[in-house]
Amino acid sequence: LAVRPGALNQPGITTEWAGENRLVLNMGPQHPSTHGVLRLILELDGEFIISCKPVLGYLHTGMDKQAESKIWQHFIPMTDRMDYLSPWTNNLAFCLSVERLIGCEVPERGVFLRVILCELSRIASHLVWLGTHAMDIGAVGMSLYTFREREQILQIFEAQTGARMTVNGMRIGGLPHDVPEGWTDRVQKFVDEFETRHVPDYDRLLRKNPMWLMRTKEVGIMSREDLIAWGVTGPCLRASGVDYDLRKHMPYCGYDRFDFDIPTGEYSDVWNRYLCRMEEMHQSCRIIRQALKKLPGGRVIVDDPLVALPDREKLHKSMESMIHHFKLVSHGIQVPAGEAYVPTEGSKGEIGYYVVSDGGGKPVRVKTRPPSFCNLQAIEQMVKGRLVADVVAVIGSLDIVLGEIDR
Amino acid sequence: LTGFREISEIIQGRFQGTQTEFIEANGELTIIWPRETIVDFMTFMRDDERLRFDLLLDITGLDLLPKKPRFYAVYNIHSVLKRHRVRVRSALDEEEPEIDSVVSVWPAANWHERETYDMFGFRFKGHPDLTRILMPDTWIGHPCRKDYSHLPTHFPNTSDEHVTIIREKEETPWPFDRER
Repeated sequence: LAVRPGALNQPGITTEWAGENRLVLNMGPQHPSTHGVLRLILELDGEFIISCKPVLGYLHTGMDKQAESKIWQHFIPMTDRMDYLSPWTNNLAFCLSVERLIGCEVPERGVFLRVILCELSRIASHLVWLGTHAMDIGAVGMSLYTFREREQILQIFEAQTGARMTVNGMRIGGLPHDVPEGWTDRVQKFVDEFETRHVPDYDRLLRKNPMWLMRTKEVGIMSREDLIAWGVTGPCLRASGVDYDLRKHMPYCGYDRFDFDIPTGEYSDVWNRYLCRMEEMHQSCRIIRQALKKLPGGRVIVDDPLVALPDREKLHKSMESMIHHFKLVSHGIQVPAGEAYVPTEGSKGEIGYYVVSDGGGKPVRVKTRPPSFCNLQAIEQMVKGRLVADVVAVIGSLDIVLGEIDR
Repeated sequence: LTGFREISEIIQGRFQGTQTEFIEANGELTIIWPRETIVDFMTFMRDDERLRFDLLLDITGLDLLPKKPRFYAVYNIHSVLKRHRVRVRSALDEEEPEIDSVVSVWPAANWHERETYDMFGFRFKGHPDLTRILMPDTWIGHPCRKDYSHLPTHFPNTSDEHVTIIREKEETPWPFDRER
C-alpha cells in the first residue's frame, strides 16, 4: 500500500459515523475554487465529509457529436476548446490518431516542433495549476508570478499561430507553417531564464512555507492500487510512485529520442503531486532544450496532396494543386476505413481520441478520453472523512479543466 | 511487453469455444467479444498473471447505423505493469441495447458507463446509479445515436412530454434520495 502507515488513523479523521445531524452543502457551480462550473454536493457531519457527489454537464456542448457533422480537419479547433490550458497536446492527440489511420509520416522538423510546442504547453498548464492551486489554499501571491511567465509562453504561441490560447496550431500531417524567424532563440531564452530563475523562485515561496505544508501534506491520500482502479493517470498517479508516463511507456511523436526522467513521488497526496509537477516542468525544459539543439531543417507538413493543403505559391501556378486544394477543403481528407486510438501524455493525464472512419471525409465517431473527467471521478475517495477545506486543496491538486470534462 | 499473438493465445486457451474475433490493424488489437460473458472475460483480463489489464481507460459506444449489428460497446484497457493495451468491442442488440456493467471489475467504469448510457442509451445491468451525466436529467433521446439530429432546430426536447417530465422531476428534490 502506498499510504504511509497510520496516516488514515489520525484523531478526528474516521469514516465511522453515528450522528443523524447531517448537513447537505452545495459547493459550486459558481464557487471560485472549483475551477470552472463544477458543482459538488457535499454531505457533512459537522465539518467532516460523509459523501461528495460531483454534478457535471454545465459546459456540455456535444463536441463528440458535432465532430460527426464536420470534415476531419474541422475538428482540430474544437480540441483547443476542451483543455484550453494546454491546447497543443489536444491537437496532437487528435492528429496522431487520424495520422495512424491514414498511415502518413510527419517530416522530422514537424515532429520536433510539435514536441517543443507540446512541452511549452505543458509548462503553461502547470503554471496555471500552480497559481490557482496556491491561491485556493491561501498563497495568493503565487498566481502573480506564474501568470507572468505563462504570458511569455502565450506570446510565443501567438508568434507562431496568431492566437494565444485556442491556437488551432496543428494539421493532420504536420504543422500548417514553419515557425517565424527568431522564434527558436526566443524559446531558448525563455527556457533558460525559466529554469534558472523562475522555478527556484516558486520553490522558495512554497517548499518551506509552513502554511503550505500544513494544507498539502497527507491531504487527499489514495493508495496506488486504488488510483489505478479508479482510472487516474498523469501527475496524480505518478505522485504515488507509479512511473506511468506514456512518453516513455508507449513513445509517440519521437519522444523516444529524447533523454528525460519521469518524476515520481512517494505516495499520493497533495504535497507529492505538487513536487511531481514542479519536477515535470524541469523535465519539459530539458526536452525543449534537446529538441532545439537537434532541430532539423526541411518541411513541417507531409508532402502528400491527398492529406495536406498545397503550398501557397503552387496554387497560382499549378492546376492540379488548385484541384487538390478544392477537394481537400470541400470534401475533407478521405481517411481509410478503420478505428484508431493513439494514447498521449497530456499535461493532466492520458488524453487520446478514439476515431472511427468509414473511408469518407467525415468521421463516424470521435470519442475523447479526457483525463480530467477520469481523474475527477476519484475525488470522493480522496475527500471522504476529511474537512471541507481539504476539498479545495484536492480539487486544485487534481488540476481539472471543466471544458474537457463536459466537452 | 506481451505481443498481440500471445495475448490472443492466452485468451483462446482460457475461453475455448467462445465466438470471438481478433482484429489486428494499425498496430492495435481489437477483440470482438460476445456481450453475455463480458464480466467473466474482463475479470480474467484483469486478474490473469500474464495479462494484468489493471487500468480501464475508456468505455464508449459506437453506432454504425445502416450496418448490422448496429451498436457496439467499446472498452479501451491497458496494463500499467505489462505495458500493453487492447480494445474490446461487444455487439449489442439493436432494439434493447443491454450489457452487464463492469463496475465490479474496475470502479472507474462508473462514469464512463453513465456517459455511454447518456449518449447512446445502452443499459448497463448492475450499475449502481445509471443516470444521465452530461445531459440534463429531463432530456429526451440519446444524442450520439446516428438517428438523432445534430442540428439544434431538430431538438426533440421542446415537446409537451418534456415539460411534464420536468414537472414530475421537480417533486423529487434531492439527488441523495435516489441512493438511500
